[in-house]
Amino acid sequence: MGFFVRRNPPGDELTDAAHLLWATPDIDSRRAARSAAALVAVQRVLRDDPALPGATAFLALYDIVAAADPQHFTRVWRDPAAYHWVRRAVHLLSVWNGEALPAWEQTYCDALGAAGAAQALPLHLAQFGKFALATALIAGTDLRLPAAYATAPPLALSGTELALVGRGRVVVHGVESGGLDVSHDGTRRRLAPQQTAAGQAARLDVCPTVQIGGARVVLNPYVFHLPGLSLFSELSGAGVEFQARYQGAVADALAALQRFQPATFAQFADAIRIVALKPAREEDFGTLSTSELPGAFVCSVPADPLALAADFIHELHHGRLFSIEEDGPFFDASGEDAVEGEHHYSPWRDAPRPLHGLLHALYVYLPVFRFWSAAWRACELDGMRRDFARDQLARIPFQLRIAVQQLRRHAHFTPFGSSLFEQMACEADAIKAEAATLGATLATGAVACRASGAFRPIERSGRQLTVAENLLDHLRRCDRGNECAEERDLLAQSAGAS
Amino acid sequence: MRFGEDIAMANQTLISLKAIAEERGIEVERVLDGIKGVSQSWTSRLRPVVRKDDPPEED
Repeated sequence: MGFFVRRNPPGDELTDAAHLLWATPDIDSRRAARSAAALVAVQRVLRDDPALPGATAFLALYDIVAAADPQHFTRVWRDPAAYHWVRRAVHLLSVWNGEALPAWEQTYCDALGAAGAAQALPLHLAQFGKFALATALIAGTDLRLPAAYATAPPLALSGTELALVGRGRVVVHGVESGGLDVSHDGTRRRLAPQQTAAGQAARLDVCPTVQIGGARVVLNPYVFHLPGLSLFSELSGAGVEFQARYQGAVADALAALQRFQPATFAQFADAIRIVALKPAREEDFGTLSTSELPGAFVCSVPADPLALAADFIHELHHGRLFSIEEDGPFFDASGEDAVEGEHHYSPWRDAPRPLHGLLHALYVYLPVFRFWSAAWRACELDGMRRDFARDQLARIPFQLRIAVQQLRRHAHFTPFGSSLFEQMACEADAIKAEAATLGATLATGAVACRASGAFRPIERSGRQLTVAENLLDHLRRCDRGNECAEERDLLAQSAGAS
Repeated sequence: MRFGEDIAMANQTLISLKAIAEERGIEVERVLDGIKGVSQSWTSRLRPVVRKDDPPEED
């Protein structure tokens, strides 16, 4: 298997697909630097044309942030919300220059209550005030904003553990002695950071943090409260107290990640800043990440620490692949819509998935397999956790086989996307052999992680199914287009033999 | 008052807007070209994606 070799921009080293997928250490730093270049570009457009709606107020805020110590600015700018803000700013300015308004940006405008990009632009630019506030909080300096910042909480303050929480409209005038100077319900007062989410109508909550080794995450669900994302309502029952209840579980998961997959742990430490926890029994998803909030994801609890660590690896790699995609598109535009075209069977989901989703699944489950493999080899697993690990070692290679075959059948890759896909396909082949070496075959008993966080055998009529039977059930039920006949036959043979 | 100072900063490349403006002019120009519609910038090429994975089932 020869790696596709491409040359990065002048001055960078030669690299190959495997290195880019798994080892390149500075992917998140490059993404942050690129988005900072976009911020400089936004500022230049507005300085060149100060008559643009909201330009003057923005430039005053920009000058405050640009004057900050680079250490403080870096903390603010590597926050997920900074990336979300600058991408919206670039899009809205592009629309001002005549580009069509993309559907996602239309949703954003709607969420702001703006009729279109022209109305949305000053509202969006004014939101840069939250970064000026965060910079002052991190620097430990007082700040009087040039114009008061009006917000409807919750508002996560980027790069800090702080979130402004409360009901109704809050007007923030600045930062004073480490707190916020606000007007709320007709009263002006200073909100000091508080560790307990006690009853005030407006308050400044300190979100819990977890640090293991070099990894430090803030358990902050409010980062997901951004216009147009429509994610926060799903997390509204999971405030600071809920996050604090599961600090130990997050610490245990990070410790397991550090122990069994130290290289991934180092990447996690560099890239992930925010974890939001939600009750496993609520909402229609278990874990979630979005390309618009790099460095943040949602996971469900309660969960076994090792299963939670596997979720962390899974979500970390979704974010990593989003960042890699900034180097170039994976799918050729001549093929079907790889992002929106939910046409294909996926062994991980009941509903059809787009090709982009299948490629993501192929990518994220490779390191998840390696994690369970390392845990298995350490010979420290017992009971149902050991059974679940063996299920994963048996299940993932066949799921990856299906993903590879689905992508081979349907995807039109770019040369860049093809190089990455072929590398992943090669690795998926290799782990199949590794699973066999570990004694994990399709005849392994199937085990699931339930909403209670406990592991349970997957049964039918009182008998535990094998992984082959369980995968075959799913394929028969969900492969509506009969795309995977070959894999179905293989599973049927395996299920019949067991 | 400082929050979570120092922790993950040790290994991170610092970002200075002044340095970016002075030293990464090509990247800034690329975004400007995207804003002006002269070419596609990274932000106009990438489509936002929300990726949700199925929840665990009840017993």
